Amino acid sequence: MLNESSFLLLTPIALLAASTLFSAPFKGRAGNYVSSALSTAASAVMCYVSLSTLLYNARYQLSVQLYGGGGTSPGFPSGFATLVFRVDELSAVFVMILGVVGLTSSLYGFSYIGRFVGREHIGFYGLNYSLFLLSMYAVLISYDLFWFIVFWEVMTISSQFLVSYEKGKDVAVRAGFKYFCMAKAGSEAIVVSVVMAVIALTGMNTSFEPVKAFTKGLASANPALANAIIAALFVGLSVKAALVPLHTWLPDAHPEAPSNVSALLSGVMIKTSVYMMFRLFLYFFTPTTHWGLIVATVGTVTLLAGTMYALLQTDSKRLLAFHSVGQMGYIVLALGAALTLYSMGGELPAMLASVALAASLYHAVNHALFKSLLFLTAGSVVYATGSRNLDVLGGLARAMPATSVAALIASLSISGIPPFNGFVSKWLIYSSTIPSSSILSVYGVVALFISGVTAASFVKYYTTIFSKPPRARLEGVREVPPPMIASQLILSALCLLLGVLPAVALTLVAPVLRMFNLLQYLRLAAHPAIVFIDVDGVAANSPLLLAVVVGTLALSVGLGLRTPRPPRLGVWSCGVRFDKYLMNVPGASYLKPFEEAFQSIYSFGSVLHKYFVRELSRAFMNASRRASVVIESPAVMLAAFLATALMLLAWAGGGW
Amino acid sequence: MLSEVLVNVAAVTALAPLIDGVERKVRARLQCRRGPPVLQTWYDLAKLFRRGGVRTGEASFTYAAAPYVVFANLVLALALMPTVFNASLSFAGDVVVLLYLITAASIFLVIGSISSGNPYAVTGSNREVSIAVASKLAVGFAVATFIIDKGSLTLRKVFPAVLPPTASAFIALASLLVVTYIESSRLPFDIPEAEPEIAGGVLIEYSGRELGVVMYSLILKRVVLTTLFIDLLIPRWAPYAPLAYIALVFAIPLAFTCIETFCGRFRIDQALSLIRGLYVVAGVGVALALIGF
Repeated sequence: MLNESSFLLLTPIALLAASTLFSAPFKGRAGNYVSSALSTAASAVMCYVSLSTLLYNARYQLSVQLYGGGGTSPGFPSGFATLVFRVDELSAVFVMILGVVGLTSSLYGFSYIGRFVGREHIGFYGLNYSLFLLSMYAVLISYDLFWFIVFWEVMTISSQFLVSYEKGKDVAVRAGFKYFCMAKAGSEAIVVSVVMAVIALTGMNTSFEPVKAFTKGLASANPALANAIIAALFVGLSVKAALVPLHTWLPDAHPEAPSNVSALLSGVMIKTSVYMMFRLFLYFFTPTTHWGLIVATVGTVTLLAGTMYALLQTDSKRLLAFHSVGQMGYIVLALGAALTLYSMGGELPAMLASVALAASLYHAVNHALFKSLLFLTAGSVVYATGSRNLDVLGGLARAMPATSVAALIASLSISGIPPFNGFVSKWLIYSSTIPSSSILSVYGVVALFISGVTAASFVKYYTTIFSKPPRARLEGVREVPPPMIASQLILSALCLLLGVLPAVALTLVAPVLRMFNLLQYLRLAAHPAIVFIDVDGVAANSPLLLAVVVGTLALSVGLGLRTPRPPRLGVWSCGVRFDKYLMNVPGASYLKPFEEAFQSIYSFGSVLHKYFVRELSRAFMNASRRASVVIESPAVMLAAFLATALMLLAWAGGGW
Repeated sequence: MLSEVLVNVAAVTALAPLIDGVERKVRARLQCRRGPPVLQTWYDLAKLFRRGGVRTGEASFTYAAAPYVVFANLVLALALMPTVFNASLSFAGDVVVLLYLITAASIFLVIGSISSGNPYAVTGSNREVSIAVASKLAVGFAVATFIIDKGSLTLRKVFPAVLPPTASAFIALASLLVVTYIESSRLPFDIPEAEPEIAGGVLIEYSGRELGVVMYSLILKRVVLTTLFIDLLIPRWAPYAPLAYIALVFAIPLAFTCIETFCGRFRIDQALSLIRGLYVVAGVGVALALIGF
């Protein structure tokens, strides 16, 4: 199936590699222009590759012989010599996410990175930004476990430099360090070791297909080992996917990066973990009920905890970062529900499973769109005012109309208000979980409730920045430059498009369902504005229709009662004259009663933090300090070395 | 079918201010006042609709648009449920849509209200959102009890064919009734508006027609919640259903108003802790439904 257009796969790699090389030497603006232009082009190619795979069934596959003419040296994974790139349906969905978010954030970077000129080395940004995009792309398209791991590592390292890009800021450096420790030490050690074990067990054959043949057999041959592999990989991937309780790096790391990088981190990078989870649970192994329930439970806890903590935040980007945790919970809950229902067997569970799987992918796409849009709007606010503080900001809707509309659209999308995209995917999640008459029903109701909490939190995000008056005078606030507006506009339009035309998104994720033999249960409607799923008889729901009805009603009432231009007066403060900036509710006081009512969640969280995170890390530090003292003393080291050598000799010699 | 839906919506939309008027009359009698005529709420609205308003200097476009969007959301929510006649816009998954429309109404209302730039509006809005969102879990549990029982997400299939016989349905209905009371912002839950304390809260800056639309929306919201409760209680296919609906849509608010008369206002935290208590009750209902009672 290899065709010439498969070389298209290499185009983004070539462009990004060129960008890495050519932007690095420039200390000033030019470095940014080089990297932004080349990454925009590369992302456009990624979009083309993924869309042609999903819509026109194009197949891209490419193996690059790195050395040795095909022979493999014993002891090395065979994948080490050849690099297999292949885009299948599953990776295409995620490449599409990467392409769209990459395109908009690169475009956004043209102007945004100008903030750092003169303060930071721009070439260093260009190098890492291109490398980051390149590694994410390579992670998604490499069809080989060994190379997956290699690019996964590159992804962590390059993103870590971007998180701590503002090296003068203590917070940024700390956040980068924490991210690096957790991602590297915590997760990648597990992922790497398990993958290496799998590679060893499969006889050094690391391409996905032989690994799959091995793992499918393993589940029945050695269930304990299979479960151990799944458990270890799930824990390892959870760190990168920021699932509770392994999420703590994310709210520190994502806000500190430049905003367009935050968009990529939240929109795409944490999704690469989800991509691997899909591979792990559905491709490498056959879904089982117990893993499905574990995944769904983790997802529910994540969406609950992530969103409840988001309510407490008064830093715009930190608030968004906590919502990334929460929204990952939705994606993972839907995945878990799909696994559970899939493994149940029978017609109705299979239908619900197909809906849940579609919902998971749909929500992953949606989250990428609205979360990157939110980070871009937060970035625009930083660009215009230099502040992320929700206690101080306010009233920007008049100075920045385009950004405020984009932020409103993104807020409504993430809150799941029709006709925007978040509504449909959340609706699909509830449709697949609540009627299942199992514990999943309760999870579905919790998700429904959290959706309301999300809405409450975005009332805070939008109104504190854009509509309530500021707490201090904000001077010289102007709308952001055109490239930034353009990228916000593209993402807003996509949020609306995938909301009013759900069939577009469902067509895009349908190939993945076909891949897992679930497609026959998901019926796509004739009309693109109506989602048809087959849950009970015929199910239909059309956000476009809802929006049209609500819009017409609102318009007709509004026009029917049209008032002459009303006079403008000052804010009425019950007859007392207050200072405008003093008599104001800070962001921290928003939703205070609600937070207090759910105090138990927060105190439970802080107890967990104390014992699970702080004590554990302290114990780990102490242990390693002690270990280092022991190891560094020559006598102990010599004794240990001798003992190990003896044991190895005995083992190699054929036993005692 | 569609014409019946339109008649339903029109009838209930017209009736809603009348229900409020009757409530005011009864409340006045209970407080040994004579009270306004039962059409007084209609007169008030008509007067407000005729008046132009004023706006604050801070108000952005969300301020002007919000009342109409809120109103439209609630009218659409009404169309999703059978009221007088047994007809409604129905599609699978409309349960979720209904809950979303009710929440979205609160969300748009507060976005508009906060856009006025008034700190009292911000305070009132925070209370409104807190109560609306917190009670959503209880509503979710209550509705989920019926969904699990029927295995469907379509309102028409969720609504009972006979008077609900199960223990879980009873618990769900009881908690739904309490939520209906709380969300209809009556004393002691009149917290988001709280006239004597925060001078109207969410309503403080709205005036003229916009105020009229907001007040009409608040009245409609009460009817929407009451209708959901009634539809889950009485079998819609019974011949007596239209009469029962009209009787209950007046009786339930009147019963509520009798309680209201003897109450002072709760603090927001007291209200929220009551709602938290409801979670336990409604959660028991869901658990019972899951094991088949």
